[in-house]
Formats: sequence, structure tokens, C-alpha cells
Amino acid sequence: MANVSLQNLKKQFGTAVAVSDFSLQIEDGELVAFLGPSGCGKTTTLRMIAGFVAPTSGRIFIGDVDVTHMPAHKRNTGMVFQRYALFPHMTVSENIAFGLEMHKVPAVERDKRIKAAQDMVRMTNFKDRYPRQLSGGQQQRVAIARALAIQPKVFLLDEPLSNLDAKLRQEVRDEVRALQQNLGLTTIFVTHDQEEALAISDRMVIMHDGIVQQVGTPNDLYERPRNLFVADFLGKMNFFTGSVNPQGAFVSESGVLIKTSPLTEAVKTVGVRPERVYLANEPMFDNSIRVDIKAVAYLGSHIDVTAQYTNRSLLRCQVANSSAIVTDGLRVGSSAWANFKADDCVVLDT
Amino acid sequence: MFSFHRINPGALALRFFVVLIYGLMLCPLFFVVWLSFFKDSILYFPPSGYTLSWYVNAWNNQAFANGLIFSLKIAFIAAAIGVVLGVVAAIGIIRHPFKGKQIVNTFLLSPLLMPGIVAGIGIYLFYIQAENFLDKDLVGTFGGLLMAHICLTIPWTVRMVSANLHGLDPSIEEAARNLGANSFKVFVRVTLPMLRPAIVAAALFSFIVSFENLEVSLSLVAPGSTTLPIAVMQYLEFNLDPTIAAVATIQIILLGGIMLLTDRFVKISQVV
Repeated sequence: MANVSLQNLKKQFGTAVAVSDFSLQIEDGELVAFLGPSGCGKTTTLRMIAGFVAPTSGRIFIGDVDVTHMPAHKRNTGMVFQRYALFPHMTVSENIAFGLEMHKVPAVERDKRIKAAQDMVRMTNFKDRYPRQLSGGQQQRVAIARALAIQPKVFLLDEPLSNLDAKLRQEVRDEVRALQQNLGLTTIFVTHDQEEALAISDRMVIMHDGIVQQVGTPNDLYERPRNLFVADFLGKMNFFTGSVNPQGAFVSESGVLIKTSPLTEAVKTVGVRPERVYLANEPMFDNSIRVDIKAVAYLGSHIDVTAQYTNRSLLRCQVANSSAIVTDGLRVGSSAWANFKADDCVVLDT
Repeated sequence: MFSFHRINPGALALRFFVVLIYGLMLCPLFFVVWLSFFKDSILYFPPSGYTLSWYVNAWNNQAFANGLIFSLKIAFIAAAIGVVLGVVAAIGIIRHPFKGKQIVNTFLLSPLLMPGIVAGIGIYLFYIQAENFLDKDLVGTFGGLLMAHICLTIPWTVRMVSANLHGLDPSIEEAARNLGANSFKVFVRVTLPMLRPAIVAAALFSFIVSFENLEVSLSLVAPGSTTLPIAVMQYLEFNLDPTIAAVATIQIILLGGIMLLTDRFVKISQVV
């Protein structure tokens, strides 16, 4: 395994910029997720690391080796594709053997590694089957075994779970994470599914329009999103747009005073997560807004409440379904206080 | 109230239609085979009796025997060369986008669009010009005829292989590169085996197209070395007995046999 260093990577297709100025240091054994909506450049970046796309400028290092201009077949990265990409004319064993043959692994060692790889993904009983005789989850397991059998320096996954159904997705996801941790694999995981990224990554890179928006641990990104895009993309967020008044307090356009820190004069947007808003019959905490309850959606583990304040503005609150008493007071048409702490507010760049 | 009508009229109509279409397709074949057993040397209906003598007649006819061997030779070589060229062209067109690729694609398919006789005359005139220029014989030579037949076979390979290639996920080839295979190994170990059904089907169709071609060959063969279809046509100029039907029946059995045999190993029906 090795660390990966991306330095000012840029990719342009004609005049369209797919990735611009992407720099990132990935540590040995770390799992980094590239997250973003489709077309954000995450897959292009992964393909540049694998060697399928040549960067317009910038450098890529795997370990200490500059691989920027190295052909894909010499890079020793193990890639798992969205649509499995197994060789249809080869059995499970032959699929796994292919990479070992290409790397000229001696026959005895090869057999040992094929067996180990099959065991690792629990596919030993299927070793003589062809890909078309396997389910999607099984095919993806074989693809993972095939990629790891060559003992790659970096493990690359391009939306590996998006073709699987929900239950299987979680199962394979957790398997990938367990394998990655047991083997200490330096891993880059591309996904558009935020839950997936939050659940298994050490660090996440959120991308939009080819530009890295923020890099950090799942906790960092969720609790302290830096800008509007990250805050909106990851989870849900209530936004207050406004400005800082001469007294140094933030006042929203609808006239609500929001206490938060750190405030500078330039601040235009403040956000608060719906689950950090507490509905109560009296004002509490640093910020309290008088609201009318407009809609209540019972979602089992929690309740989504849409509340309205100062005529027009809406505030979303998520109430945990921790006891029956809590839910009783939530009736459409009734009034309440929406309370949240200054610490739970985040200041956002636009 | 109509519950006693067990048969759905729609399904019945469909069945009738299917039988009709098959009947129309198989009708000529059926009559050719039937005619080949008629006793009378002038086609006469109903026949006065049945005989196998036309098969003996066909077998003893030197022109047919020579034509068959010559046609098999031309068709085999033309198909072999045409498939190789067609596969290379299809991969170039589908996997390596380049400027003007649509024009190249249309150009490669153009022999399909042209009436055979026009193509034949066109090639003939071109060969005459080329002969003047190169000071070498082309019309009436084996090489000249072979090149013309290769032109006929290429569109079939290009079409079938590019259709198949189009449906293949390019990430399969990328996976092979990722696992350490260079371009040559990717092609030999992954791309080519995946295209096997299309290539086999293309070879078969190329063979048939070349084997049964009359129009293009017509202006290019030399006296004495003719293809089977030309031998048949020449025989028809002076005779109208069921020998021709016997030759046709042998040809149908030969080609049908090759097709069935091929289908046992590669499911051509999946490609075509």
C-alpha cells in the first residue's frame, strides 16, 4: 500500500472543465470518499488516478512515484467498476487469475492467491461459475476479489454499490469497509450517495462543478459545512439569509435576530440543522422563534415538522420519536417556540 | 356469453400470419427441392414420375464441379481476409473516435447499398483503368476476383462486429488494463473472445455472400475458371432441365449444414 498525492490536477474536455485545481494528500491505509452530484468531476478524478484519463495539468504520485504519464496497466491500482466489468467469457477463478497472470505471478503462488481472494469475498463455492450465472452482489464481490488479488498499491472504487438493491448495498458496503481496514488498503471510493460516504470513509471530499468544496472527516463536514453547497448537499439545513447589523448581531431578512459565532461583517447566510431545532411551549436556549406548525410528517423514527414564522418563512424541525408525549403536542395549526443553540448554528460562505 | 369461444381471435390471427410468412419464405426452397426429383427433362406439372438422375447429371458435369471448388476457394479466402479487415475497421470506428468516422462507416457499408450489377460494372471499369496504369492484369485473374469479393464481405463484418462491440461495456476492457494487460493483451485476451459470436457470424455471412454472388463475379471471371453461380447461369442458357434444381438443392444443403453446425458452437441467433 502507499499514500497518494494529487497536485493541482486539472482536466479539460474541449472547453468544458471537468476537474480544476484538485489537490489532496491521501495517507497510507486511509479510505477517502469522493462525493458529489453527477457531473461534479469525481469519476474523472478517479479515472485520472487509474490512468484512463490523462490530466490536462497537475501531477499524480502513488507512493513516491510520479505516475502522471504512466500507462494504466503499469500503475498497479485495483479498480472496481460500477457495472462490475467482469470478463464474461471467464469463470470466477479465471477472472481473478487474469491480473495475476498479467503480473507474471508464478503458478503456485497464483493458485494460493486466487483461493485466498475467493475466500475473502466468500465466493469459493462459485469459483467455476461464469459471471452471467451470478447475482449482482456476487458479481461485485468477484470484482473486488479480482482487483485485490493483484495486491494493488491503491484500491479504487467507482460507484461500486449503485447497481445493487438497498439491503445488499449496505451489506457490500460494510464488507468493503471491513476488508479495507483489515488489509490496511489505501482506498478511494467514488459515490453520489451521502449516507454511503458518511458511513465508511475516514475523510470525504465534496465536489461540485469540478471544484473541491470541502475536505474533512464525515463529522467535520456534517457539523461544520463551509459553504452553502456542502450544507445543502449533505443532510438538510435551514438557511437564514441576512446581514450583520451595526451592533454586531446577525439579522435575517425576515427580521429575526440569530445569535451565533464567529461572526464577521461579511456573513450573509447562517444555517441550522432541523434536528438541532427543539420545539417547546416556552423559549429556551440562545435563539427562540415563535412559529406556527404548518405540516407534520410522521416518519417512524422521527417526525418532520414544517413551521412558519413571520408570515412567509419556513423552518424545518426534526423531532426524535423518543416518547409518545413529545409527539402529542405537534398539531397542525398550533403555535410553539422553535429553539436552537448559538453553537448549533453554522456560518456559511455562499 | 362468448365464453365457449376458447380460442382468442388475436392469437389465432397471429398464428395464421406466422405460418403464412414462413410459408412464403420456404415455398421457393420447397419447390426447388421438389423439382430436382422430377423425371421429365422439360418442367411439367404434375410430373410423370420421380428420379435421382439429375443429381448424377449434376455430379458428372465438369463445369459445376469446377465451379463449386472455385467458389468455395474464393468464398473461404475472401471471408477470411474480409473478416480480419472488417474487425479492425469496426474496432477503429467504435472504440477510437476520429474525425470523419461517420463517413468511413458509411463508405464501408456502401457495397450493401449498391445493386450488385452496378458494383460489378464499376469494379470492372476500375480494373481496366488500373490495368492500364499498373500494366498488370486484374480482370479475369484470381486476385482481381478475390479483391472484389473481399469488398462484398467487409460490410457484413463491420456491421455485426460494431453492433456487438457497441453493446459491450468499455469498462471490461479498462478492467483488463487496470489488471496489468497492455493493449495487445487486452485485445487478444478480452476484446476478441467477447466478440467471438459476432466474428463467427460475420465469417459465415461473408462466406455465403461471396459464395452465392453472381453479379459482381460476372464481369470479372475468365473463361474456364468460373464460379458456381456463373456455371449455373451458363448452363441455363442452353438447358432448362431439373439439373439446376439438383445443384441448387446440394447448395442449400451445404450452406444450411454449415449454418447449423456453426450455430451449435456459437449462438449466431444472439448476434444477427
